[in-house]
Amino acid sequence: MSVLEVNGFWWKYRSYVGAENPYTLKDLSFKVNKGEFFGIIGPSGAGKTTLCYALTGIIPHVFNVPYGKEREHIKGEIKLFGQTLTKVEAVKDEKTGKTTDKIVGMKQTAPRAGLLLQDPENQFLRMDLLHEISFGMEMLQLPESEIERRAKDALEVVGLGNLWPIADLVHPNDLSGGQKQRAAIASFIALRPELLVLDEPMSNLDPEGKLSIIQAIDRIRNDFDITIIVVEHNPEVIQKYADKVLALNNGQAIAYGTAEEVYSQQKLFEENGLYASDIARIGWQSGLTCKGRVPFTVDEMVEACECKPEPFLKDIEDYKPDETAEEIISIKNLDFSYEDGTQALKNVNFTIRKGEYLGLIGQNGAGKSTVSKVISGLYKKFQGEAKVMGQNLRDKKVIQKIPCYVGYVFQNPDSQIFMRKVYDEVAYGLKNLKVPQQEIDQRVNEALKSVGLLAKIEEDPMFLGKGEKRRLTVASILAMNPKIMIVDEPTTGQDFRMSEDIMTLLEDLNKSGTTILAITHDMTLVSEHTKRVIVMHEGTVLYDGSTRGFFANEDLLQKSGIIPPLAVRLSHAYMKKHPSSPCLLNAKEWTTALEKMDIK
Amino acid sequence: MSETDVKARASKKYVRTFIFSMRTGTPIEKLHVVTKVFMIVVLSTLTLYMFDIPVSRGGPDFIGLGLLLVLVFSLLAISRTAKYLVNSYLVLSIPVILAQFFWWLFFSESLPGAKMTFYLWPGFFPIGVSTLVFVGTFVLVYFKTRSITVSLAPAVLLWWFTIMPSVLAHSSLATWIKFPLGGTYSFSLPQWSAYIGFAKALGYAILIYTSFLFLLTTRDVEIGGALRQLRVSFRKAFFVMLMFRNLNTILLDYESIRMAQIARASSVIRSGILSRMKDLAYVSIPLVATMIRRSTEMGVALYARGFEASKGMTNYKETKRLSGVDYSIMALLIAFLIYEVILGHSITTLFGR
Amino acid sequence: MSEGENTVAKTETKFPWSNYTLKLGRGEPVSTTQYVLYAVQIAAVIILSYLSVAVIPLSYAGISIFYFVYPFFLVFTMWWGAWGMLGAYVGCVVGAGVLVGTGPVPSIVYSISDLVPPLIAFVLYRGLLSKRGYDPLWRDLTDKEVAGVKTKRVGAWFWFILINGVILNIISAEIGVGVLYKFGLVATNGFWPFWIGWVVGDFVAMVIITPVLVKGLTSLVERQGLVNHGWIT
Repeated sequence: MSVLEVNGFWWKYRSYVGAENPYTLKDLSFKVNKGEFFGIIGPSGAGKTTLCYALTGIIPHVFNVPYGKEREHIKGEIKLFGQTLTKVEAVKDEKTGKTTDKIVGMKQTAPRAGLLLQDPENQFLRMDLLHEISFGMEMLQLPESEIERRAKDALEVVGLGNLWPIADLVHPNDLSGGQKQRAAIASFIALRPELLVLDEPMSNLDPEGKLSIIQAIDRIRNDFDITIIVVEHNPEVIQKYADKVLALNNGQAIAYGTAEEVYSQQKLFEENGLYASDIARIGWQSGLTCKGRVPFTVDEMVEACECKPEPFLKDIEDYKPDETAEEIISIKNLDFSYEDGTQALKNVNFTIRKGEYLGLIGQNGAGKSTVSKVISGLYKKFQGEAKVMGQNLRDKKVIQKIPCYVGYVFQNPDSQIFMRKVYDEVAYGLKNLKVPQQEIDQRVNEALKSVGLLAKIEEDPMFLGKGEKRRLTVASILAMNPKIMIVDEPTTGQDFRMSEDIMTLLEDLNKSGTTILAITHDMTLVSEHTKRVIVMHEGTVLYDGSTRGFFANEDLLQKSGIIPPLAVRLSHAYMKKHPSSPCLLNAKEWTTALEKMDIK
Repeated sequence: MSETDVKARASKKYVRTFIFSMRTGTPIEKLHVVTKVFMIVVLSTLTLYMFDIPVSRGGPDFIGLGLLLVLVFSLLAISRTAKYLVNSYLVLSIPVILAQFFWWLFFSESLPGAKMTFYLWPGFFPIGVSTLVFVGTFVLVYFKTRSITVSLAPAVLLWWFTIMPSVLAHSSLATWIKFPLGGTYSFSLPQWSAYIGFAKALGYAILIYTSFLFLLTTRDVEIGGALRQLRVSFRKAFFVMLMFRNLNTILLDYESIRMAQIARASSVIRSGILSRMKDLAYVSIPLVATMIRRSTEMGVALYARGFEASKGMTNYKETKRLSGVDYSIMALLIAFLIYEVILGHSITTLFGR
Repeated sequence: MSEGENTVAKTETKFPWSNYTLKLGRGEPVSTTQYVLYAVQIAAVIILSYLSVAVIPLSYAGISIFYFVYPFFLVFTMWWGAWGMLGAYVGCVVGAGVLVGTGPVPSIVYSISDLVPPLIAFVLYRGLLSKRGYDPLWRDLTDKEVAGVKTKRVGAWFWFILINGVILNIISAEIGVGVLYKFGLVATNGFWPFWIGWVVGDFVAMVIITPVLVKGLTSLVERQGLVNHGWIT
């Protein structure tokens, strides 16, 4: 039985000023059956979020359509639970006898369908956890006893059962991103929905958060008979759980089938910039197969490797820091506490040399952003010693001038865009530094060229795409010629192509001499680009050394709660069979190693 | 609740309030928000009355003010929130209270009991020589030093010297505190001003700390519950809750935008008020953009929860009942108010001052 | 024309801003996005009011020499009508009143001083000046033309300064400082320094900040259909 039927659906957003918008969804047709786990994948701007809105009635009720132009904006039909959800029909007005086009269908999909969005902050609507869970139920006017029972169960299912006794005392600020997302899931579960749509639920979360969401989804699948639709970039999740996958690009369906069918198509992934797992990439590059197709899981890959003539991999040189380079950042015995007394950093020590490219990783709240903000002079009241380019950050004058040396690119581009023209945006920092106009022109052009946005110099930054905005924020800092660049979550929420672009850009910057500190949860970024990694855990430095040394150490990985990328997990599995093999970090190293195995 | 639940609940010692947190289990936590609002309204009304009693009726009620201050501090101590205040606002509030004292010391009524009326058109040109002296000095010194604090000091001092003659002319005041400057000149302050200044400072302190007491011990959810009990419609009450929900988020957004601005060298080259204002203007662009994005997403989340079609809400632990303690406290406050304001008694006179 | 949904022909459609009137609304109920936005903007004005008053040195009893929230709630009112006015009032009561210790009773009365300027400006601009060729969204302060229609920049600045900078500013200072004086929070001879500080502070903030706000944000808000056609929606 089909829960959702989409037939030839087209959608165009309303335009209030200026030209009409293009169609965001074009001629989509697919079915989702009861109890299925349905995955939707696609690059940024493909229309995945728009599709989620259409499937839950957000379109056309929150994003409405101008009166009289219904047929221009909506074509086709969506059926939910066998009833019409959205469709444009000619309806005859009984009083006047006139026939006009009207949008017919369900006015509201709750509680039978639920929608989870990407940003945990914007979905937590109440001021405490208990009422957040009970909100939907209260609006359904269920009796108190029923609300209490369902709320308790819902919290258990998502793994927040330990918070039940104090649920009415827990403020949203007390919860992490992952906990807020789980609370949102719980609030829908309590409504006993038949369909749950999740739009990139894990994008904004740290590794712990991501894992907790996956566990929650798993439990929901086992305990309830719910149809789940998930928009997700991470191929592991889709491959593990999805019964069917729909790939979108430019509002159109480019692939539809089982996970195996879709994920075996190398050309599809390469042409559309979709995330393929490390294992699949290794498989495609090296030509290894398992069960007649590219391997999907670690076990399949290990099995496939056994067919190689030389059954073990050669030694790989580990990274050694360049002792001759000057110390550019020096942190000794650093302590930092927030206004309300919580201690964020305890006795942090590390030194960074010029020209390094390192990753700063750890769970949320471990202190990564805090220590970076101390280095950039944004947090001033610390104890201990912090020196940047040999200058002491205790000196107020030094802190005032720090932005000239240390560039900090924040995570959210929306909170860093100050101007309405790309040129002005990049020039903003330079104008603050009172750089002469001619030099501003030159630097802006150079910066935009290096991020590939020169063509957009006259455009409005507010209306650029996600990836372009991200590159613009990097360009704005780049124009100030910082010696050190701290980038906060450069690849979070980005699709494959955008991530690659940013990572390449950072590498080029590093090659030209800029020291780069990347704060990230993206272990692929760390394993592919950084040679050295500093792992923060509960305010202290847990590990400071080579990336390879960190990923090879399973105890450290467990303690820090970091989940290594697939290529590393593959290495661990391979090392169990062949103990003398080195720990390979990424798809590239694996591909090279596999080629060498063929040669001998 | 099971035993483990009870233990778990006891282990949650602090719960977040409007600013910082308060300790659970204290008597203050058990009070209904209506009582707290009543308390802050009555206490502030009493304070405003007490420090303004004219001399003909005995002057400001110092003892009453002192009692109120002690009361407020005790309440802060009982709710175990004083430590938050000490770490942050206490330091900032002391100069403000002192400033209150000094303003009244220098600028209070020239005659005790006399009240100034509004200078309205037509009839009286409101700008006098002394005002011009004040503004002129401030502007000149500001352009030299670019610092507001440093410019204010000479402006205030010169202002004082220009109004001194008119104060002296009306000097039927009993006592003066004189600071000899040499020869026949002396710097005089009417003793009365010092009394007024002290009373106002005390009163202002009570006002500030009562407000903080309220903010430190009230949770946002309590306001929603109270609105519900006052039979405010469900959509209007939720509107107010949405406002509170976003207060903290917007403050965090503002701070991160300011940090991003600093990262773009906005504070590297020191410049005056005008460029600081421009910086603030530029903050508005990402701030409003973020506001709009949040509103759209929250609107979607609300719709997805079933807000649009909903006709009302079950009362699931949303409200708190008013207890005997609440009623007694409110009655006591009303009694105090009647005694002091309506009947016109003053606690200081009780002690035969 | 900036609005694409007109099915009823308007009689005097001379200007791009003719849709922005003193009617109650646009004939549709408040949408969920608008509902949330209005709540969010009030929260924003509360925070900005608080920052205007608490963080600046030597501000006192809710008066600040640097009251930078003034242009914000003025512009918000021009966009969002009654909701902006509500934001201005509540922002002052909570942000510049209760949160800095001025006590609820004086705050409720003195905040009327923040309600009056946006209210009168909204009525004057949408009711009178917009028909004379002045943009109620103040784009003519910075742009030479709005949607192809040439603007009268000099006239726009003249009215802007006269209405908002002088008249409404003085009225709000009289109410604000006067109320605080009556409540005994402002010293007798301190009335005029505070009055001057209020007027000058608001004036400077308005002249510097408003053009940046208008130029930087009006198009963003308009493009998403979020400018109110009337008082409520």
